[in-house]
Formats: sequence, structure tokens, C-alpha cells
Amino acid sequence: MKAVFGVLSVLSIILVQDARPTLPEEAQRLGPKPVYLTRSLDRVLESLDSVIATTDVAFLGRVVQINAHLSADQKSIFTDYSIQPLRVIWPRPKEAPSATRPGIQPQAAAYIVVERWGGTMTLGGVQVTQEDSDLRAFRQGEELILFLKFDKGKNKYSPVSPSSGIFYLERGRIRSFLRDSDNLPVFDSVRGMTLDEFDVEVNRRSR
Amino acid sequence: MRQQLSRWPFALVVACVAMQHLLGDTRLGNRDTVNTVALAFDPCPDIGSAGEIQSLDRAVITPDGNCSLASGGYIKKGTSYKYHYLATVTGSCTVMVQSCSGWPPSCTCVPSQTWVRNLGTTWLYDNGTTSFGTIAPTNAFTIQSLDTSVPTGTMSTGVSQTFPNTGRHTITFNTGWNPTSCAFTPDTISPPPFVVNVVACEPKWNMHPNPTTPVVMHVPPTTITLYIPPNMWGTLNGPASAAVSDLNNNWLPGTGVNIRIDNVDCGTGPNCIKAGEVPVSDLPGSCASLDHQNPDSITGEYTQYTTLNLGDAYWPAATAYRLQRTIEHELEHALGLGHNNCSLLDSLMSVPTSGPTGDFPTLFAACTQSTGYSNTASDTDGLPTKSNYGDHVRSVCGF
Repeated sequence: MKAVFGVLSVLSIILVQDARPTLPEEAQRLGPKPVYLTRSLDRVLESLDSVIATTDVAFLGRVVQINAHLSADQKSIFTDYSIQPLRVIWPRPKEAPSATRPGIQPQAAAYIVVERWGGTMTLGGVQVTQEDSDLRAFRQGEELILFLKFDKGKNKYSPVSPSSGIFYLERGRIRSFLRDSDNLPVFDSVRGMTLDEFDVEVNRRSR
Repeated sequence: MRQQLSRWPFALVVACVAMQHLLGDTRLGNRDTVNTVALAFDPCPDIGSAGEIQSLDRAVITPDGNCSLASGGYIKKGTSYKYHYLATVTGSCTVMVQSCSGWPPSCTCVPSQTWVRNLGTTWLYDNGTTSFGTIAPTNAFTIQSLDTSVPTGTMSTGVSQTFPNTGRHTITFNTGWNPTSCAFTPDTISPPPFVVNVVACEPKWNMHPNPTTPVVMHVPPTTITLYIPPNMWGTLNGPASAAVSDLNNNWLPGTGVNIRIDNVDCGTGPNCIKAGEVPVSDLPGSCASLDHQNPDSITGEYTQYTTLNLGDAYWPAATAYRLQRTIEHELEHALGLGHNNCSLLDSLMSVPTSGPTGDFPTLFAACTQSTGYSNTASDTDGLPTKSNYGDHVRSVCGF
């Protein structure tokens, strides 16, 4: 009986696989007009405390360069954003690097690379855009507050929480990058803060 | 006014009335009928200009007075709203009488009195039956236009209403005008009903990501097939059937959309939604996703098939209750809804929070557990589909 279950489990793992076509295949099927792929996620937000707890570095930075590429399985577009740090929020610049907080001094670098799911690229002559319906792509020159974790394997940063760990300043006040998030309770504690107030709040919570 | 009628044909009228009675026609009191049946009784038809209600407008204003709702829009339950009414009526009617002279008499029709069409009382009905208020000009017989949102001392200031429960309400307005000696027809007018959807929290829509094309993305109004591959059928069929049943029975009748489940691939057309499994690394911070391709930028309709992706680390561990919520949540995306800021119990389209102070301790718990949220569509989820399927009315007040 156990053997039967074992065989069934293996079969199940083999059979349950990602059956989506690759993006080059989709470009070929849907082109030559530009192809637009949107994604609506059944997302789970993270509290700010939870975001901070897994953050290697948080800073205000400016997007200076954008490069999109395909994932290894060619079913997703990822985009590398080169971000020029303007002001470090966490950890404080005077604090020393540690093994668990590897991205400690982005202000020392001209820019750091942040990878996000989604983007636009040309595949077989067809422009393909893949985008989260609630989280648009970053724009060149845009200033953002990012909570990032470092991926040693890729040697890149990525957002700790795509939905909860990206903010921007609107008329000097903090707003979440997530679309239609103005009334979400998870952002109540920081919504409308100035950058200075936000800096203090993040560092207070990180203690 | 009728006393001004010339008496010359009186004898002839009396004779004809007697003949009418003998023939069994008792309609003499109905002036219109007389005009059409026996013009000889009233040879001077009244002259009416083409008068009609020219404009009607209704608005729902929140207590703070700064929100105007379009018909089919959404308001928050338990809040008092005021209906305003803008109406203009035009037209007049001149009563004509005979003027005779000489012998034998020579008669002509001459104007006797002119009446303007004017606004009477407007009755408001909820769902066609329950009258809940009136709007009446206080200076009757002379008012040809009114706007209750601009009080002038000569008219009502609107009608207030509070909806304690969620649901769809059809408000009808029935405006009459004051009687005159002319036979204005029709004597009342009912503008198109005003639909109000009362919900617990603010619905959001799944908008086309291109900001220059603000249309709601949705599957076309036809039979949609949800394809569940054979290797996921055993686990997903039950929760998916419950989700589809809730939508088909409660929210999709009348929309043109009906969802069926199949274990045979439904192809690449826009009426196909394919369930499948993807690595969780492809769904950062999420349990599942709905991916669509090339939605029409004018209509918002999908032009290709859609994929319903379940995270490989979550769905096999999820309860049937959680899977039903996940599937119905994604199907609601396909029907045009986006994420909202409602509580987890008020809406399927709400967004849970994980973490020490969140709704769930971890992302895994949020994607697999049964408790803490609803797994069927509420009015906030269903009314936007049922009331305005397609590129939905998105007017909201009071949130």
C-alpha cells in the first residue's frame, strides 16, 4: 500500500507541473502587435514590523537604469532596476555591517541593483509587457523608499515585500506604492508621515 | 372658462347629446374622446405646444454634501443620503372657444385662455412599491423648473433616506403636473429608475493597468469554462464547484456570464480559464494569481484565455474552505473586481495581512487556513457584477 502511495505521489509531482507556455511562445502566438500580460495576485500584505524584521537595507533612492530579462523557465519577465541611494533609513549609516544585515552601506555605492517581477522586453520582434495590476513598473528618475533583502545567489536585492515594502513621497508625505491602498489598515501607522518621521518610526520599530 | 363658450350651437349640442345617450355613448365627459369621436360637439380643439419634461437629474448626496452618485453607483449602508431632483417642464396649452356673429351665424375658434404646463408633486418609490417621500414645489401651478439642491424657498429641499442593510435598490420618481383645463398627455412622467447599490465597504475594480485606458478588465459575457487539469481535479473540484455555484446562482444571472467546470482543456479563447500550479517564487507575497493576456483596451474584455495559478507550496496544504475563497477570489478578478480595503469577513476581495500583528502569523498560514475570512461573495463582491456587468459603473459615495 505504501509503495502504491509512493508511486502515486511521484506521479502526482511529475504530473502537477507548470503548464504555462513560455513568453517567447506567447509572443509568437499573439504578435506582432504588442502583447500585454497582466497579473492579479491573491496577495497577503505584511505588517511594517514584519517587513522591517526581514529587511537588509531600507533607503530612499532614485531609479537610474532599467533592464528587463527573462526568467530561467522563460515564463516570467524580471526587471533589474539600478537605484541610486539618496538617503539610508535602515540600518543607520553609522552602524556596522553584519552577516545578517549584508546590505548595510548603499550610500557608499553609486547604485545598487533591485530585481522585481514584471517588465517590458522585446521577444522575437514583439514587445511583451508583464505587469502586476496593483503594482506598476518603476519609472526612470522616480524616487522610491525601498525595503530590500539581499540575494547572495543572484548578487541582487529584491523587495522584502512587493506589496508592503515599497513607498514613495507625495508632496513630502509617505504613501504606499500599492494601488488603492489609501485605506488599508496595514499602512495606518506610517501613512502621511514626512520622511524624517518615517525614518524615526522605522528605526524605533527595528529596535 | 367653459362658460365663455358661445351659446349659438347650444341647441345643436343638446340634440346631439340626447342622440349619443340614445346610442349608448356616455363618454361626453371625456373631452379628448369627444374631440376625436364627435368633433361637432367641440369644434375648437385646444392648441398645445410640444411640451415635455426636458431634463431630469437625480443625485445622492452624502451628509457632507460633496458627493454626487451616478445611477448604478455604490453607497455605504447605515448612512443618511439625500435625493435631489432637477426637473424642467416646458409647453403650454391654449383653450380655444367659438366666437360667432351674424345670422346665419358665422363662427370661428378664438383663444380663450392659455395654461402653462407646470410641475406637481414628485413621488419617490423604493423598489417600485414603497413610497418614501415626496418632492413638491411649494408654489404650485407656476413652477416649470426646480432643482432641490439649490433651495430657493419655493420648493422642497430633497428627500433623505437611510439604508440599514446592504442590497440593490431601484428608486423610481413619478412626477405629475397640476391639472389645467387643457388635456396634457401624459399627465405624469417617470424618468429612468435610479439604481443604488448599498454595500458594507467600498468595491474596487480590476482596471486595465494602462492609465490611459481606464476600463475594467473582464471575461466576455458568455459561458466561461474553468478548466481543472486531471491531476488537480480531486482536490480542486469540490471547492471550485462551491465557488462557481455561489457565483452562478447569486450574482451572475442576467449578466450573460455563466461558469462551468471541466477537466478537458478549454483552449486559448477568452471564455477559458485554466487552473494550474506555479512555483511560489513566481508569486511573491501571494497565494495565487489570475493572469490575463491582451485585454481589449477599449472594452476591457479579455481576448485570450486566462490562467488561475496556485502556488505549489500552498494549495496542496490548503483547506477546502481556503481553496474555495482563493478560487472565487480569482474568478471575481476575472469578472472585473479588484482588491479592496474591506475587512476579511466583509469581502472576498479583501487583502489579509501576515506577521506578528497581522491577520495570520505567516504567508503560509494566510494561504492555507480556514478561519478569519468569508469564502462566499458578499454584496460588496457580487453587486458590482450583478448590477453593472462589463465596464462597470464605478461611482461611489460615503466611503
